[in-house]
Amino acid sequence: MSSILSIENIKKSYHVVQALKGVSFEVPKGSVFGVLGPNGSGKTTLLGILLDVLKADSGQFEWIGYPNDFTARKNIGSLLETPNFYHYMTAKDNLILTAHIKERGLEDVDRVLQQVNLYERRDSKFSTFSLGMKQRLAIAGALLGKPDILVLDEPTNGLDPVGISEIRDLIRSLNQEGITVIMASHLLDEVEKVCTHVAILKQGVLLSSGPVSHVSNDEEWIELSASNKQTLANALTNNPLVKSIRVEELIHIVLQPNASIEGINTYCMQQGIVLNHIQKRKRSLESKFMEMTK
Amino acid sequence: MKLLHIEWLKLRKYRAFWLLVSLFSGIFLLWNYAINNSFLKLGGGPVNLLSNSYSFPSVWINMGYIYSWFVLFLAVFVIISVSNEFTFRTNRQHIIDGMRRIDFLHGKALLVLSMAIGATLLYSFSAFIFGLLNGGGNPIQNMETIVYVFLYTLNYLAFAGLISFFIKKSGLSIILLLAYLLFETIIVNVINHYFETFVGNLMPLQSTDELLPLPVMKSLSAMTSSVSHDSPIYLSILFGVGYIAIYYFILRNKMLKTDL
Repeated sequence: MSSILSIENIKKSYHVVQALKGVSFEVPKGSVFGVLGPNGSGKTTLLGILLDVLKADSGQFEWIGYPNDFTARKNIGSLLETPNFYHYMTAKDNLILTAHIKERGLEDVDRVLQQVNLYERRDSKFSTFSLGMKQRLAIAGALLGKPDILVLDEPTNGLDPVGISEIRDLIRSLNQEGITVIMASHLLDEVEKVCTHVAILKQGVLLSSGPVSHVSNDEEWIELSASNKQTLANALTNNPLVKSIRVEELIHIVLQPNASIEGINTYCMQQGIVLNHIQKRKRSLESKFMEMTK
Repeated sequence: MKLLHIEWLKLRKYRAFWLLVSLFSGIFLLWNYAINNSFLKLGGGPVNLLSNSYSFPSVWINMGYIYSWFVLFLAVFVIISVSNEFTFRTNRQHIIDGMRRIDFLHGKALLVLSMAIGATLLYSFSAFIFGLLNGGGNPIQNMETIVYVFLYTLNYLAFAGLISFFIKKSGLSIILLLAYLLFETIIVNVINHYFETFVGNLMPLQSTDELLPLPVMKSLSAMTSSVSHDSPIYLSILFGVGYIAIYYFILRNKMLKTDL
C-alpha cells in the first residue's frame, strides 16, 4: 500500500516543554489512521504541524502526490479542536466562504449541509447553534468538495451517542469511497471500531505504529478451564506446546509458535481431561495502550 | 482579487462594518456641511479656528484636515476585522483550508488598501463638490492633498492592523491605539521642544499627520515660534511610506514563522 503522508523526525517545543520528540511514521493511502495518546501526548500538536497552523522546530513531512502543502490542504477536509466559523454569519455563508478558500464549487454547499442534517438550519447564524450543531457544521466544512483526505481531531467531541454513531458510520463510508482518514483520539473504543492503522504517542514519543491488528494483537492467549483445574494446570505446566501458563480463576496459556488450539484440545482429551471452556483471547487495543502508556 | 473577494464575503453581511463605514461617511459629510455653513465653530464670537473656506483651492486642505479626525472609525473597523479572525480562530481555519499564510496577511492588506482607496475617493468627491458649490479659484491647486489623504489613511489603518495582529483582542487593541495616539503626541512635542527640531514629526503616525495640517495652526505656529517645527513634505511622505513597509515586513515575518 502506497503512503499518502510521510512524517520524518518532527520535533516541537513550547518553551521548556518538548511536545514532540522526533516523531516519524507513514500513513498508508486509503487507511483510517488513528493517532492515539493520552491528553498532552502531542496528538493535536502533530496535526497542527501537518496543517501548517504550527511550525515544527525541525523535521519534515510530505503530503505525497501534491505539488505543495497548500494544494494538499485544499484537498484535505479538517476538523481541528473547536469548530472555527464566523459567529455573525449563517451556516451557509460560512460554508460558501470555506468553498472559496478551498476553491471548490458552491453547488457542493447544499449537499454537505444535507449530509450533516443542517440543511433546514442553513440560514441560521452560527452563534445560534448548539455545540453538536457547530461540530456538524465543521464536519460539513471538512466534507466540502469531496476531499482526498480527512484530518479529524477528536471528531466525536461534544456529540451525543447518536451523533457519535453517525460520525463512525460516516468515517467508514467515506473510507470505503477511498478517502484516507487521519484521526486523533483518546477514545480507544472509537479508534478500535473504525481504524485500520494506528500510531500511539506518549509525551511526544511514538511508541508504536502500524495496522491495528499488529499493534494490538502481537500477543494472543487462550483461556481454559476443566472440572479439575489442578489436573489441567499440571498437564499444561512444562508442556512443549505451551510457552507460558498463568493460573487464575481460569487458566491462561500462551502457545508456542508451532502449537494450535486444536492441538491443545486433542492433548487434553488424550490425558483424559475434558475441557469445559476454551477461548482464544486477543490483547485489546485498550489493554495494549494502557500497558504502553503506563 | 480572489483574496479581496474572500474578505468581501466576510463583510457583506457584517453590521459592524456597515455601521462604522456609514458613521465615517455620514458624520464626515455632515461636519463639513456644518462647518461650511458656520453652524460649527471653534472659538468664541467672531473667532473661528476652523476655516469655513470651502472654495477652491483651500477646500482640499481644509477638508483634508477635517478628514484626518474621522479615519479613527475606519481604524476601529480594521482592528475589529483582524481581531475577529483571532477570536473566531478563523485565521487558523483559513490556513487549514488551504490558504497560504502569507495570503492571509495579503487579504487583510488588500482590505486596508481598499478601505484607504474608498475613503480617499469619498474625500476627493466630497471636496470637489464642496469646491464646486462654493466656487473660487483653481481646482487643481492643492489637489496633491488627495495623495496625502491616501497615504495618511493607509498609514493609520496599517498601524491599526499591526496593533491588532499582535494584541488579537479588539477592545484592548482600540484602547492601545488611542493610548498610543496620546503618547505619540506627547513624544512628538517633547522631542521638538527639547531638541528644537522637527524630528519628532517623523514618528509613525505623526509623519503622515503632518501632511494634513490645521491651516490656522500652521500660520499661528509660524508666527509665534522662532524655530520651525514643520518637517519637509518629502520627508513626511518618505517616512510614511517607510513605516507602512516596516509594518508589512514585521507582519510578514510574524505570519511566516510563528504558530497561529
